[in-house]
Formats: sequence, structure tokens, C-alpha cells
Amino acid sequence: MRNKFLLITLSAFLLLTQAAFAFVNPDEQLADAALESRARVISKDIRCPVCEGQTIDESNADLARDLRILIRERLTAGDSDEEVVQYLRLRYGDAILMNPRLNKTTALLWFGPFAVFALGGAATFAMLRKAQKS
Amino acid sequence: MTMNKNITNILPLAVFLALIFTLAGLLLRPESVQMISKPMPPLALEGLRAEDIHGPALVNFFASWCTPCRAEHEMLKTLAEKNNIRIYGIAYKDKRADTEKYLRDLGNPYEKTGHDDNGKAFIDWGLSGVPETFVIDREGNIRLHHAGVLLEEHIDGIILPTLNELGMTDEK
Repeated sequence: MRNKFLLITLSAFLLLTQAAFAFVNPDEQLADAALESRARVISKDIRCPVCEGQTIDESNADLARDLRILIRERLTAGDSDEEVVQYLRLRYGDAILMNPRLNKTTALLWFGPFAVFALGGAATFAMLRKAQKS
Repeated sequence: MTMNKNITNILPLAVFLALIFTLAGLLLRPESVQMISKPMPPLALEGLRAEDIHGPALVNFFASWCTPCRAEHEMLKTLAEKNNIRIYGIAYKDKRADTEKYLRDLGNPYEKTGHDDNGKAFIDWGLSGVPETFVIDREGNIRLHHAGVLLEEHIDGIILPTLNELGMTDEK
């Protein structure tokens, strides 16, 4: 019973902090709900260039706010989601994306850990087998 | 056999070192900024428009409230006065009176000064802070983007060589 209560309290707390993490101010929001939701989706994948590991959607930094406004302006002007992302990539590089796209330079980033894991696994396996034999 | 064993013993270390060097090489490589060799973004600021900028020149984003900007200001003045280099200033989110006082107190190295009040030019030029400096060529393309404060080693190491490459001479 007590555990259940704790669980509910914790969940509620987590939900509240989640809500508090969205920094989109009411005055930034677009009246057009469809555009606004597209802006939110884009913002959630754009890294704030001046904060560590935060998206512009959850940062209250000045630059993050300006970037959120810019995304909304470009969407309102008729840009596609891809065009907005391209605009930012051209200026801030791939590092602006929370999920870097897979290309030649980012291949190591995506597959490196698996390669290291496979290599380590193979080495461990070989060593264990050798130890078993002797 | 002993030879073989020696190799097995140092193999993990060798692999580890190789990994370290590869990753260090990748990390230390200067970040490829995508605006290089592209025409400079449009500028229509109060006090500075794109057509005002005649390369080879520097475009320097600054603000009176920015301490590193003060640190590099003397060097910008030297570049403008001694090396005869055209520098265009863009004041980022700065009050007019503050910019004016800043340039009056410290001296003004800028040919022209634009005011980026809403930070639109700041994003359009791909900045993440002030100061940041660009080298613009004769055709109006960005040749160099230096993020952060300019130190003497940057001036001598990249700024002046790039300007010289573009046909700027040191003579007055």
C-alpha cells in the first residue's frame, strides 16, 4: 500500500517536471495548431547550440528562444519541415541535430560502439577458450 | 612461442592506443562549418546592409555587454589602423546608447556598424555567441568563420594569412 502511494507520487512528480521542461512561451506559439505542432516536433530534434545536451524545445536560453521563433516564422512562410532543418544544418552543422543523420562522417558514431563490442567480445571469447584448454 | 605471446600481451594496449589516437584526431579536427565558401547571408540591418560590405574584409559580431569583445577590441583597432583592413561591426542585442558609448570609450575600428536587435542576423550567420568573426572575400563569400575571442595567434595564424591570400597586403 505504502509502495503504491510512493509510486503514484513519484510518477506525478515526474510528469510535473516533464511539463516544466517545455519552455515554449505562450507568446511564441502559433495560432495555427497544425503549424505549432510541426514546430514542436522540429524543435525537439534541434540541439540548443549554447546548452549542454538540451533541445531548443526544453531550453530557456535566449538563443533557443530565438531559434524556436525562427522555426515558426519559416513554417508560417511556407517552408517544409525538411527545409527548416536544412536551413539550420547549413548554419550550425550536423551537431545541431539531436539525432545525427547517418552519413560517411557519422558512420563511426553509429556503428563504432557495436564494432568495439564485437571486437571485445571476440577477444574475451578467445581468451576464455584458451584458458579453458590449458 | 614467446614472440607470439608478447604480441598477444601488447595487442589490447595497441588497439586501445590506436582507438585513442583516431578519436583524438577526429575530435581535434577543426569543426567543418558549412557556411564556408558560401555567399554571406543577406544583411539588411539598421546601419549595415550586405551591399555596404566590400571584401576582402572582416565582419565582427560584438556587443558592449560582452567582455571577450573588449579583450579583442584593441587588436581589431590595430588591424584597422596599422594593417588597413576594413572591418564591419554588427552589434548583437545591444542598446544603441551602449554601443555608442562602447565605441566612443574604446575607439571605433569599424567602417560601419549594424544593429542586430532581434538576433535574426546572428542566427542567419550561424552564430552561437559573441564575439565571432568572418573573413569575406571580394565576391562576398565567407572564407573563414572564427567563433570566440580573437587572440594574437588567431590573427597571425589564420586571419591575416587568409586576408593576404585574398589580396590584402600589410602595407598601408
